Amino acid sequence: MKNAPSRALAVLVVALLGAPAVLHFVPGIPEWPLAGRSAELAPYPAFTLGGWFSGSFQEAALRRANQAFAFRTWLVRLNNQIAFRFWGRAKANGVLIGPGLFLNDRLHVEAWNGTDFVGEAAIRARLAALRRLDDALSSRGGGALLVVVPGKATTYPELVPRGSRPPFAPRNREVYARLAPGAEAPFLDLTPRFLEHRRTSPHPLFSPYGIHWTALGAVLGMQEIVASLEERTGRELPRIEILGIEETDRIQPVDRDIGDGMNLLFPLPKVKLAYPRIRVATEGTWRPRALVVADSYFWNVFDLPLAGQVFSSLRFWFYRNELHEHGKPMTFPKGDAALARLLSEADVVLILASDANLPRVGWGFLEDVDRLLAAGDGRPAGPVR
Amino acid sequence: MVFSTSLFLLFFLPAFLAGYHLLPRPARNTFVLLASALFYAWGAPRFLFVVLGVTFLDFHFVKRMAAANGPARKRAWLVASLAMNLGLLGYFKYAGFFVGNVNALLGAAGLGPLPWAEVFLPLGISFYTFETVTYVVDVYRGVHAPLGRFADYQLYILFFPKLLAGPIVRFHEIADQIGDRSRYETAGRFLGGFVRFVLGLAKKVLIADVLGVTVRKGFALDAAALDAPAAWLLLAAFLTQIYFDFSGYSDMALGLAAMVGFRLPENFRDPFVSTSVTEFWTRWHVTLSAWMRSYLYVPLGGNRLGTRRTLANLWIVFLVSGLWHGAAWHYVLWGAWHGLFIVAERTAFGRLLAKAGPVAGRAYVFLAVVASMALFRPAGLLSENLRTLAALAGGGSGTAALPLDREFAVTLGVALVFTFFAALPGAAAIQRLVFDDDPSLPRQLALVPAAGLLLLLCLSMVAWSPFSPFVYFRF
Repeated sequence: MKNAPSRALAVLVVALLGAPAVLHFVPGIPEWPLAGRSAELAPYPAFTLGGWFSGSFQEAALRRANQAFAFRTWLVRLNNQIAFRFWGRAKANGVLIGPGLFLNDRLHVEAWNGTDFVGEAAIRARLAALRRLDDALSSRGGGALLVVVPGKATTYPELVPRGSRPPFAPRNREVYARLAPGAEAPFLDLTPRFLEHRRTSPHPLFSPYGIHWTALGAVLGMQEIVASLEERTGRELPRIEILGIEETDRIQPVDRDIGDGMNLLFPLPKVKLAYPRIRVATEGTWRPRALVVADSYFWNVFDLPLAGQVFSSLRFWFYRNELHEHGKPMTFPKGDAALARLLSEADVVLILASDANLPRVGWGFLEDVDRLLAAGDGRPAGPVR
Repeated sequence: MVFSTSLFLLFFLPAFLAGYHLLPRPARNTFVLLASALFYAWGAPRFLFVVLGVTFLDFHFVKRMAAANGPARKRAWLVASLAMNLGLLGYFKYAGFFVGNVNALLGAAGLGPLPWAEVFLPLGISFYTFETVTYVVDVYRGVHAPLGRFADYQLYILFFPKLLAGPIVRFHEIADQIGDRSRYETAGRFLGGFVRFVLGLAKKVLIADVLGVTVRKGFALDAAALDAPAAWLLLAAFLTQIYFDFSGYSDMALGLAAMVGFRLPENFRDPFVSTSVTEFWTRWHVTLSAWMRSYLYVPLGGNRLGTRRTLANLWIVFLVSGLWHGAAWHYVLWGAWHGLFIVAERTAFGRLLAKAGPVAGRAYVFLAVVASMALFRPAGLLSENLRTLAALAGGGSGTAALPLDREFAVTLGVALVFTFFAALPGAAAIQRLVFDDDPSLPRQLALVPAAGLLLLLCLSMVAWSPFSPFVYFRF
């Protein structure tokens, strides 16, 4: 290589090609963690001859190499930004972009248009199990309630991404609502309340960049839940009062969760959201012990101060997987005996899901409890507190 | 190892290039050979021993052939070498197909099937078998003397840039470069190679892979449910995907080779500026066509034995070419399809075509090749290929819609512009500028940063979606 500038350029090319792999080991190289992805790298592959010949070593090395180079998160964000800017597409799994950058989720759109319909038989069976659970709890003055929160697409159908399949009957939520009275199952659909709010209030119940209900939506929802429990149990529960609304463009992380999950280079345009100031009046009211089996929508309730004030104790079984109490995860043994104990320590059982999770609602809880009750093992015992 | 992975681009490639250029010249071939063996063993560790064993035997067969007295002995060694190489290709690639067809006949006759256990197809076997054939035949024909060192022969076969999907390098094209390529190991050629490599990577990652997403979804639909426009669009996208995938790979191979002083033959010469299918095959997968001409068409008699024999030879070449792409009847039919057009162009139709002008000729070639993709698509069942062909002719119900989006539409549009770019006035000058093997310093200063930006875009795709093998690896 005789020509010095050309040679320098060639050396620079090789150095730049190798830089990301080398700089990965240099501390202080800035990375921008990706939301929704684990920051933990795939482990170094352990070399064995068997692994080499089966190809498992190479696969593990490829996994590691795909993560272990500097500036990777910036490159991923660059790619996401290009897809968003030029193709109007989110590369995050399941995220869809509606009119006016109203982000949505595939499961929510499927719940709105009925693609995810599970069939009447499955819904009847679930309602029957719910009724038997409610009977068991009612016998001691408590009760059960299945709560459906309308998803983003159901609440704002005009902002569903263009090109989505239009709605067609039947839809899970509507069939639950139609069959529940006949099955005498305790069922609360928050959709009418949410749609009424849309007609009468300027404050949105969903953020354009989040997939969960806003704090305002969660408060409205809890008001409805409390009213429903009062009606079913005949007892007065704490009152949730909205003292005022504060509008701000400094929105909470939960209100931009899918926006953050798009992992873009540049922030989305600012939006304003309404956050309620609330008070819970508890004097002379019954504060039941609650077991809540719910999807991530309940986090917005669990994280509000009102949850601990409405209920004397609150256990949140997230997707019936992690059990949380007093805001912290708790270890809980698995199996029928543990389930029976959980039931016996609850006055009310709330099963709550957005309509996007209705096909899986309860996540097996209702079926397991029904089996326990049928065996005579799970009947709640002891007086209501 | 796939070129368009972070493992190759950010780990293997810089280490390979730095190692190569830091080593003294006498050690470089050994280094390239070791890197190539690692590259091959990474994806096909068991078959590395097959390749090493075959090249060892082949090297000694050819050595003995060159030293043999008399044409009969030379011929015997030639036959032994060809039998071994083609026998292995036949065993690994075609035995299952053959047994499957025999069993179908036996089943129809009410007889039991022949026992057969499925064998894995060694990566790149179709490509390196053809190269081993060129070695033995070139030496037999006296085109070039045999290589003196086994390591040099191994390097010719295993050289990793072209090992898995070509170009198919004929022995005499590279033999002298293995011995001494010092005059091509310049910074200018290195940078020209880098630009070529990045252009190939962009073709693969930014165009072929993007089109492939919609093509895969389209092929998942029932072909009989597509109306004619949808079927044409789907196959045009598939052809464009294959063109950018395969020519992208070839560009990367040429670029990589140039970065270490090798010059590999071009594999694509703007195939869609062709005005006849005959011309198309002198521009598409050029090295396969050249191989077929030198080692099949000419030995069959070429055009020396009269018109009928010439046409028959052309058909045979295209049937074999179809079978080379895969052991399945739809590939044979695909070869026959192209053979049909080539034979037709030798008749009055060809004269008519010549009078029609270049625009009509290009449209005809594009439509003929797009339609052939109905047979080329790996549909699993020949009946599905035939249904796709019927859909092209308007025989589909039109009840299914292709999942089209803006990204696909823009990418296909851009790809088609590049596909026909060479037919535009002034295009040749631009191509000479961009595909300059040995650019001057001012050109380096313009092209290398531009290639760097393109590489950044490609890396952003690779970082997001880390694995997508090349279409032609399956052949």
